[in-house]
Amino acid sequence: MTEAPKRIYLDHAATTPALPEVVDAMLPFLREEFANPSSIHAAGRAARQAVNLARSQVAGALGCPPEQIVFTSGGTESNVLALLGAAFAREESGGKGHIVTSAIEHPAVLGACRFLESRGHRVTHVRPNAQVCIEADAIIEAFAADTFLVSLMLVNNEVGTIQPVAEVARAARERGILTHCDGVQAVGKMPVNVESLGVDLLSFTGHKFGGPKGTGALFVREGTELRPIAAGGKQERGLRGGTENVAGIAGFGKACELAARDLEGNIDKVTRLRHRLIKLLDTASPGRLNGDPEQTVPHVANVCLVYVDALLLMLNLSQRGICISVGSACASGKLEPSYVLRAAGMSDFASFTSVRFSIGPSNTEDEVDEVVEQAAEMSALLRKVRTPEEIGQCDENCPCLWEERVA
Amino acid sequence: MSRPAPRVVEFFSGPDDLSDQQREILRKMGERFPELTVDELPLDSDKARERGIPLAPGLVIDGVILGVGSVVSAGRIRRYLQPQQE
Repeated sequence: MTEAPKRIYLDHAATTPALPEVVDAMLPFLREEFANPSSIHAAGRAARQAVNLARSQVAGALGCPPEQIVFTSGGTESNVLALLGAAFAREESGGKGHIVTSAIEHPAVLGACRFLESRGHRVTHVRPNAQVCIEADAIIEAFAADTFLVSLMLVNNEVGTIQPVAEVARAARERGILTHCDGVQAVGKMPVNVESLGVDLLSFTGHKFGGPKGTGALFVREGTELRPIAAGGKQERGLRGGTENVAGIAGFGKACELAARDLEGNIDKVTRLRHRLIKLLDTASPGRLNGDPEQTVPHVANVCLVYVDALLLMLNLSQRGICISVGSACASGKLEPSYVLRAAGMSDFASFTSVRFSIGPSNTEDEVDEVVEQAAEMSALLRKVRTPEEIGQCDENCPCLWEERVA
Repeated sequence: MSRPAPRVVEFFSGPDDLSDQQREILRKMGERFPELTVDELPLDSDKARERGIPLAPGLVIDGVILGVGSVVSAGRIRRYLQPQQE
């Protein structure tokens, strides 16, 4: 029997391994402390205490009071609760209205917007510039008299670019518009403080920074009008009915505590590893970094590899035990280009040749070196068997300028 | 003169035109390269899942994935096979 290759995981923007301390924090609530936190007996009170502690830990990571945290099942639910909850509240008082968001949001936000459009709200999707950054002025210019909500991600999940949330939130507040921020790729990876950002709602999840999957939270600033999307129970101030996932919440709280404690060191480490990866890759294989190199998180590098089919590269590296990801997706029996890169004006060709490396604090220099070596070797092989004519070309509007480098 | 070493081709097919085109290319390639052994498997096979092939047609030669969701031309297959034979 052949031994599976040692796995090197460079897909930390998709999810991260739960930290040992997180697992330890969860286990008691799967074993002896299994009670329902709504029960008023001693066992129930112990579970409630764990939920309360976690709420403080989560709030501490964001710089807000614990009572402004609503636990959910993850980033998607938090995003949907924020958008639908705000829209339902609006419908009760002012009828349908206008929402401004960006074209590069996570599908959870885009899907919620589509749903709200089907209910009669209007939605404007602002496009990014060629560096996959939304310009604050473009968002502000899109505000209309009936705009009641703006939703902008803090970090783009595919490219890692940081968006101007604080500037947008300031302008929105002056106009009485609520600001929601999808902070899923930011919390635990960069400093995030809801007061400095000035947002009213902020979504995030635990599993992106060492917490368990199935956990998330929505920060809801005091006074923000929000309605539940799953009515029924009184848990989470009536905004999210249902017995709490106590073990998950305990682990989520611990992950937030650790993330806050280790943030600076983790940023230093992944920044160094990312620079190493980009530098080595630049030497080993012709390519170009997507996004704005200045306005980006330290853990994500999205790279166009010249004339390399990204899906084939990803699948072949996977066979060698290396996990990375591509922005293009399989839909309806064919490969679709990344909607994020497409919105930034890049050709489908650029999209089909782009891969995302996302680094975590547990990665090492040796792992980065190994990934670059394997990626370069496989890229050279794939280039040999696929001519530029077969894979396509940038069109005249594509911001990619790599052809000069290939020649 | 020794015979060339056998080359294993895994062809993951579906009920689509692209799979038909790929099958025809492989048939012709088999005439030119008798060392090719083509193993046609359905997209929902365990082997396809093991390789991570999400779309048909999928083409794997000697363990290297050369095509997913599109037809791999005869030229590409030749370019992959010939350098290793030289």
